[in-house]
Amino acid sequence: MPGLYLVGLLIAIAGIAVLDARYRLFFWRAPVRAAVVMVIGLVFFLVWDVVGVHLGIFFIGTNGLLTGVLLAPDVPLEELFFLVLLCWTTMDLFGAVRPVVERLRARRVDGPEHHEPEFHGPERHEGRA
Amino acid sequence: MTGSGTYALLAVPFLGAAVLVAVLAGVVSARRRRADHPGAAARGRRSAVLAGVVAGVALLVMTGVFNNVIVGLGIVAYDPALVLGARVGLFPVEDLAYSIGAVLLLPSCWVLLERPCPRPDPRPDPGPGPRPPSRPVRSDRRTEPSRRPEETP
Repeated sequence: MPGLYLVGLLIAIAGIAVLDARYRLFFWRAPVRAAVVMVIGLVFFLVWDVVGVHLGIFFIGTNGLLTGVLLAPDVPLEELFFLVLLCWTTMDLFGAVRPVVERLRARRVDGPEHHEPEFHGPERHEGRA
Repeated sequence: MTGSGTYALLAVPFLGAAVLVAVLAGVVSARRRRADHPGAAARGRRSAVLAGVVAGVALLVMTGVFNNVIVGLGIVAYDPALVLGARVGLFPVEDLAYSIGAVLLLPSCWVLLERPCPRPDPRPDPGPGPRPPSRPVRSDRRTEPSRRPEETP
């Protein structure tokens, strides 16, 4: 069924957008900064794609699931949405994991027995107890 | 350019660029934190790196599922002469370079674009951003009187 892949991608993107909105991970944390990062990612990966297609490494397979709209030879419209999904998922993950890691690390450093001698110093006692 | 290493070689310049940006982000954020909270540089940078690694592993698992689906459905196909031949299920292992590139490049750009000058006021005016002032942002740090807001676009 033509367009099914695009529908699947849009559903997936909606899912990570909901997670973003609920937990303020990326666009819902800093919309302008997120947009800049997204554009950088899309350009980076589209160049990668176009070079790969140009070299003949990958191409559209045999399927009836694409809309047929092409951004460039063998670069379907869906690829743009796939790259949005890739970049947004990456940043949702990073935005979700980073505060958890920092909290765990802060707890460990604050604890009575920490194992990071390089953190000996006045900063360890600065407002953390 | 032909040969079974073509797809792998294609990843080299892109991953190289992503690594450079990641290193730059590490250097810049360490400097920034050193100026901000003396001594906290190493800790903050390591947290970001560790978060990147954890996010990267999760992303690779998700990519493994997703790529098997799109290759299995025939949405994308590969010239067998231009890939190494090692496959993760159905897709060439070289595909994973996209996820590695994403997790190297994008969080690094995010960190680099962090507002470099923290305001001294711990509860600054939220500005024109979408965040209502009644709901403070989930901070990456625990509450410190001098902590800077995570982001005020």
